[in-house]
Amino acid sequence: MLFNSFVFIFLFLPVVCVGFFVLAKASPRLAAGWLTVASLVFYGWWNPVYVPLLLASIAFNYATGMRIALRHERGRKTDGKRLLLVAIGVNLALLGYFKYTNFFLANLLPLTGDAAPLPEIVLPLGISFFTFTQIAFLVDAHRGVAREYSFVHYALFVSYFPHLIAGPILHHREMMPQFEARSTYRLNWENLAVGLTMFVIGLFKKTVIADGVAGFVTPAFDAAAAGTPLTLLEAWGAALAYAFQIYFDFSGYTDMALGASRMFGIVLPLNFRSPYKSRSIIDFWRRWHITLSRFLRDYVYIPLGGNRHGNARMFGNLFATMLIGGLWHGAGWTFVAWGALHGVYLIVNRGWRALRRRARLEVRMAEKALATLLTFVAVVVAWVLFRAPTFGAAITVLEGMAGRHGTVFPERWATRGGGVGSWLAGTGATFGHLEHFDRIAEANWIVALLLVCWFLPNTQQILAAYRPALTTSGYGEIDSAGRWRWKPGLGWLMLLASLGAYALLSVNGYSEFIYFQF
Amino acid sequence: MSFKTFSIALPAAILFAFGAIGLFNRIVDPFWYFRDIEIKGFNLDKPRAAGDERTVKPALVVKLQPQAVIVGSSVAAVGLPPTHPGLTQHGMLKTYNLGLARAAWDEVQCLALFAMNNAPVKRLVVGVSGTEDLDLPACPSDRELGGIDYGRILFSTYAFAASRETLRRQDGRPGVTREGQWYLARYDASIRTDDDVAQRFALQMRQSFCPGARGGAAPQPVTIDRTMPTPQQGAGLRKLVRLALQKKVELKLLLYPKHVLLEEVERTCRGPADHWNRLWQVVAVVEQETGGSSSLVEVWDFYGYHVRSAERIHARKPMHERLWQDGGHFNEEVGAAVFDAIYSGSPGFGAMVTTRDFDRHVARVETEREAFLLANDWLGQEIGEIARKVAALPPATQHGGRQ
Repeated sequence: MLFNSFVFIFLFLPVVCVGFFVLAKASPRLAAGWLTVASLVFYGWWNPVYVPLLLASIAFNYATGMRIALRHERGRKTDGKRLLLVAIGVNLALLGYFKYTNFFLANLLPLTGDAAPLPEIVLPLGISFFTFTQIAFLVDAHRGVAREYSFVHYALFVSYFPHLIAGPILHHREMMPQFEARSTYRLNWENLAVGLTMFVIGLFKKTVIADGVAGFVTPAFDAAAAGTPLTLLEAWGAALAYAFQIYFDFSGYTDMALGASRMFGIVLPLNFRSPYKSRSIIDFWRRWHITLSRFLRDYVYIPLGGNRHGNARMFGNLFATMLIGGLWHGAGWTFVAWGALHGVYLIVNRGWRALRRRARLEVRMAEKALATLLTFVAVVVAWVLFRAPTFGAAITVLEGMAGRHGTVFPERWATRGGGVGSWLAGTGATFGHLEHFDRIAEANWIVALLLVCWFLPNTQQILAAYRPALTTSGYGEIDSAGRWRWKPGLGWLMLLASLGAYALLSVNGYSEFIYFQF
Repeated sequence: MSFKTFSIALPAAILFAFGAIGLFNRIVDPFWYFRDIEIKGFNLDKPRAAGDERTVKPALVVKLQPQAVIVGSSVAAVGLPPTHPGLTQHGMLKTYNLGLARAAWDEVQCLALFAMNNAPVKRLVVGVSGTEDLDLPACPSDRELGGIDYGRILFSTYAFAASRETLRRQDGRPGVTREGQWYLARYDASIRTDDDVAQRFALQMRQSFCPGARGGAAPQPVTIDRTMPTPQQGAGLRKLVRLALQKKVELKLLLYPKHVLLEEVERTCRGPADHWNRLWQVVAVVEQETGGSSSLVEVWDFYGYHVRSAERIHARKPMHERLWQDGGHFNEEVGAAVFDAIYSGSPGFGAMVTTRDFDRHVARVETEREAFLLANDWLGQEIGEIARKVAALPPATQHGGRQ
């Protein structure tokens, strides 16, 4: 089931919400059970075949986690470690089978000369998310951090529908106390108002902005995949449009997830904090998919040695972590290359920071703006690898962005482009018909979205006074949006009602969130 | 405002706005699905009804239950008048034009099967175009084809924009008729001069052009593949014919008229055999399925060099008075002549074809062509004019994509 579907908005969410608070009056445990069952229905709506898989994964990890925790308590750490490795192996094998079998076969079979057809394996929704969530639980059980929880709460922690399919990747430390707190089960109008506000803003981001800009992306990348060269403007148009599509798609999803959860009184961790305002790639990864970053930091980068063994090892660890991050996003070499590129970016960024510290360089305002721009461009370039279906397509787009296939401006810009058109004509620029990115409206969209990303506060800032999300040490705080701050009043009511109605009217057909495929 | 008031008022306000727009779209009915509120000057003209035809037209077949149905591509949607007295037995049969823009044979065949299975069809006209195999495609289920997406036609920004345009454009320039006929560019005010018409021909014919294309190529011997299809070949068409026989539906398979300018360009660029091979496939399959004895299923061919297919671009007529909008799309006057020939037996335009008179038909058209070319030297000039316009089209859109 999609958050941006009529069945979720008009049926599922209201029914589950009412049922939850009615049952909570009788028994919090019953309400938690109701929420767990509802989450399984939510998951099974897409394909009920995989509900037993999810349940089996939950049962296995719960049982194993409890055993590991018991061994830790009794001081049998070696025993516990063995069990932990087996359990992680089982989880990774499951993930590997569903997500990576065809990837490896497709790469191995040509080497062996075997032309056997690849098996048809349908990727269960959210498998990467619920696998990582549970691996973190197992590791913490071994570290003695995770204690014994009730099975219902554990099952709810893993399957909780607001996060199940595309995150945030939850940590048991953050969630279990909330599932156990009696206050969660009492209807709280503040939670409802804040949750509704976040949900409406998220829905608008998804159905109006992300789906709206998606129309510019697909034709251009499809053309590149078919080998059609793109001119400078077409290539930048496609890359920027995708940068905004994935931004508003993921940001919209996250707002809706946090909002839906907040209606039940559960605060989810912050996952998205205006990442295009980042002044460096290090900063970017503290703002984009924060819960994945912290998972990779805590369960990959630090166990690999982190920065404890000198610069060379640290760079190697960074690179390896980002490679794994890339592969986590998708079973394809373009994703690996995207991860590798971000690994390189991070290494360069670390090196630059060290150099600057040594040279005691002051950072001026203009340099901050330049750093933001540079970071944004680097991220956009990397998105091309992330979006392109093949390396060939990615290279075609990147060549276009480098101007290797010429620079042509749309004819309409010359005639109807106002000051920009006149200025371009004055410079002797070439005008012609472009297959993609030919309309002035497309350029206006891009500029408008860039301004929104750079200069407007994010949803959590707007709601900062009401604790919209849990923050994580080292990943930034939620500062207030100043005059943009939300409070229940007529102005915000009218604005949100307009956004909500427009967003609902833009729910057209079936439009998955990009992060569902991961 | 308290949190409680806000929490109740926000969903209520959203629902109110959402519902109000749905109600507005329901009243205006821009896609002509509900058909219960029709007020002249308010919503009687439906300029956007053709915009969502794939959502609405099959659903209307289920809703209206027509007895005479036309199925085909945009050529059928634009040119074949569903209210023709011959087709409707002088208004005795409820009628509907289910032609859909860009519908290739697989979709056409699915729609024809769908119409016969979901409406009390007595007469079915199916336009056969293209050169693809007449095989059996995997059709969507009847529920998928005939279901109506209320979210899209009532609760969407798309429907809202269509409603607003409907209210704005009540100027007597209809987009479609109640019976599903589509006017395409017939009332397009931007097409005023012969040059505009030539540009329209160029846009529609650009895919058919090859370097050096010209009209009036010397007659060549036509080699037609006359092998009889195996029982596996043409499975889609066979299924259609069998269902028509089983349901006792009068089925007319129609090879559309084509403008002579387009015919001549296609002959130069693809050779003369394409059309004849297609016609042979159809008549051969029909004969195998009917045993040549059923009068229920007939094949009609309107290819040829008739005066109705030879309207000049330089006719100095406004668009709405022309017979042709471009090389492929004729107006309802030509369509009426098609139905006159089929249902009233009017001679001179088109012919019913069987395997037995196939050769005679080919020979007649080839002779007709020779005579036509001798008498009409404007043909080469107008093809040259179109060729120049095709060459001047933006390279990105020429031949459907940048090479």
